[in-house]
Amino acid sequence: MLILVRKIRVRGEQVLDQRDVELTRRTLYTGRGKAQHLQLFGDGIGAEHAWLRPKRDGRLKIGCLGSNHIRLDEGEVRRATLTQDEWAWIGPHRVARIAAPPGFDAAIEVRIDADAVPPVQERLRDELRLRLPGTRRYSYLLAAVVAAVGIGLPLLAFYHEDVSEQMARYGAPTDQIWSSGKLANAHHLPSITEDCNVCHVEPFERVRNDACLDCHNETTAHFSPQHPVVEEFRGACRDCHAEHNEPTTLVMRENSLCTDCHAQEQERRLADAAQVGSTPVADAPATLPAATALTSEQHPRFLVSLLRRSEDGWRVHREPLDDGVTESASNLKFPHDLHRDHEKVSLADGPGHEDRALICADCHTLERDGEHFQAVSMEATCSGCHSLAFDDAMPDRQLPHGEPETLRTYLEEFYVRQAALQKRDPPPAPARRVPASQPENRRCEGDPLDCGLAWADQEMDKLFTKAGCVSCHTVEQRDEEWHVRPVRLVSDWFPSARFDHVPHLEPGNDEDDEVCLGCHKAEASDEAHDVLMPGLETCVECHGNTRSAGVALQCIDCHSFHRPGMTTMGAQ
Amino acid sequence: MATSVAVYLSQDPGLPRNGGSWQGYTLGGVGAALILWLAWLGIRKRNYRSHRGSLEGWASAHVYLGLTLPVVATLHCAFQFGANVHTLAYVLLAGVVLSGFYGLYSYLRFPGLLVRNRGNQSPDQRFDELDRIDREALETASRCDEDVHAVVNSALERTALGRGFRDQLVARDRSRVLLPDTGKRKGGAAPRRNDNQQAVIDYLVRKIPETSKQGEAERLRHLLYVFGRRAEILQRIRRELSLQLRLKLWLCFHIPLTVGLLVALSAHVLSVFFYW
Repeated sequence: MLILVRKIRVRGEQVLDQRDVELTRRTLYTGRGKAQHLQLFGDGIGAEHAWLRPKRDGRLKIGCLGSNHIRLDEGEVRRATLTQDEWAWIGPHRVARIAAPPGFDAAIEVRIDADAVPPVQERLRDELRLRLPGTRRYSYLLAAVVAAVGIGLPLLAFYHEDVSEQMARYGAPTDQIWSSGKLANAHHLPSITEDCNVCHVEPFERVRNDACLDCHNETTAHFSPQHPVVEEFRGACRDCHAEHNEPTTLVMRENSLCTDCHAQEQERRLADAAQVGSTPVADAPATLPAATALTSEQHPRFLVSLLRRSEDGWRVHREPLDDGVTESASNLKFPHDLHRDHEKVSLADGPGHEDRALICADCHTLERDGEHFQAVSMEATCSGCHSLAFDDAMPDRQLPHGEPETLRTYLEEFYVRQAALQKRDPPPAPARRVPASQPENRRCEGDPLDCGLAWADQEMDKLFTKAGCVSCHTVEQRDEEWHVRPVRLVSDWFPSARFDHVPHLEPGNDEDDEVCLGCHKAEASDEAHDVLMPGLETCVECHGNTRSAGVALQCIDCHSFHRPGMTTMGAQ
Repeated sequence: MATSVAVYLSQDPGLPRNGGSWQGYTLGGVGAALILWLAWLGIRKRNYRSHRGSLEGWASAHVYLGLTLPVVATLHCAFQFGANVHTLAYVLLAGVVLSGFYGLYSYLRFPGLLVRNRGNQSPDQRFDELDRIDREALETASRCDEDVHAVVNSALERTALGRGFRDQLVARDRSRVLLPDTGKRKGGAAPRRNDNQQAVIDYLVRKIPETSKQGEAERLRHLLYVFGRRAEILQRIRRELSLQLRLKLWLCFHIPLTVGLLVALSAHVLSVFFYW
């Protein structure tokens, strides 16, 4: 539809000028905006004010956009259909359909109030306003989102477990986003990671011991329930164990956690003295000296566990380690220095190998815990060099390594048989024998039973007085019978401490025992009762609490709070 | 800052440094106090009766103390970050500080550019001049050919400075002009782009050789001069708007992020003590 738009500027009734514009379209848009077909300015005119649609029947249909309106003689309306030459007011201007000149389908006349055109600053007022994003709106929006995500949803998840599960399923934030860090690896169980309330039972309340003991009821304590400081020591698990740290660290390592109590001398009860396995402790110093740091002056001397035999059996005696004075009582005889002397004791690793001196690892095998050593035994350790052969004529026959009674039975059986065989097939008589010398080949002149028993007696006496059992064992004769004093080696000299041998061994020099001898003075020991454990002075040569003192160690690097053999935390 | 670093370093190495130690709580308390005080500037600057220090002093302290806040907050959290509400607070804090940095940059850079753009002419003087040359254009156009009159009228009426945020930011010209229908365009005459008044200038240039009316060419040349000057004034107004916008834009981030930070800080403190 070809439309003629006639714009006539008027001031009152005076026509100032006139302009015609042709448009080919069915609908015209009018308003203040720049993109409007008919741009009009003035009070009450919106940016997109109305549309004008000439009808084929000669009328003009007008519809307002948004909340705008037009004015007719009868008042304000939002829609109107005007007949020809009927005027409608758009703000201060008038518009009407007029008779279309030849060649046009429709014509619209607009009478523009010339005084309604404002100065440029007012006309562009909207555009001169800075189009900054609304800070208030975005502030409220961001605050609402953060409040919902950071407070609302987590609280909802806390108070409604079923809702929490649904939220987690759909990836909505739950109280998990309140977590300040990952849990320690030991706690990475679904039952804990997915439910904060397993540990955080009550809001605004620190994690209680009960929550820990739900799982750790069997964890051993630090001292017995009867210890006098139990009442004072109302420590919580969280005092030493911190969660949600990165890197994940469960055990706090501050020395102050220990020295808060141990800076003062502490009373020691036998029940709290560290045991060696199930062996009862017979005595220990009544007090535990103060410890404030790992130095010769600020750390107590090491307390070594010694085993001593009494009428009641083996008992542990905890004594300060005093170099050269403290003695153990294993009832064995063993000179370390002799075994370390290459001129006296040597070992070949196999045919074609040269003899070499014994090294520590030949007898001592480290356990998998890196701290203790496998128990030394005759069968596993000594028998490689020390044979229990007793008869030169039959070097393959070995004495049993056991009780003297067993040994005597074995010898009697052996020699009675020897005598019986001799009786049946007498050996040729020796040409000559040196008087008073031990017969190399015994000859039985009488009853084989008597001969055999006598020969067994002689061998027993020899083993328990000259060479054999008496070489390694402490023996005694009671009621005309030989006895070996019970033997027991200390398996854990420092049960209150832990020590890892592995990092102390020089890599690549595992056969060189210089590193062992650096701490254990085996070359100077000629008695089995020597205690070869190093003292505090040896440790502080390389270690201290700070790096300036060497390799830094904290209390818990050597001492465990949860002590093996102690009652459980649940019993405290 | 030095004190904060000293407090941070005083944490016992037995545990990874964290916000849960007494040093961590101390740094957190200092950080929270700083945030509240820094946010208080928004209230203080509206309190014209206040005698608690000059507003310049507050603004200066706001900048300097704001600079320390990332250090205090980072030491408080001990470089521990994760997908949680605590890190959300840290991220919002980082956003506030970064937008503040941009604000500082804006205040150092844009006022000088604004002064240079004004060229010894105040905004009111510039609009007065625009009004004057618009009237001059209308008066000259009314003595020209009807088409020229209509085009000039349209160019003046459809002059635009910028419709929205992006237009103002890059000083985009969205002016239009309704040129006479040549019959080549489908749909007849329609408003066309008139960037930098170029369409109307081109029209006038085309019109000069075509005219045969006495004095018309002279009037058209005058109109060319008027629209050239008009284009420059409008360009400066758009640039003024762009610089004003950029000068204040940082606040659109700084303030919402600050409000978000205050809520996140509340969530952070609440969650820490809720799950103590």
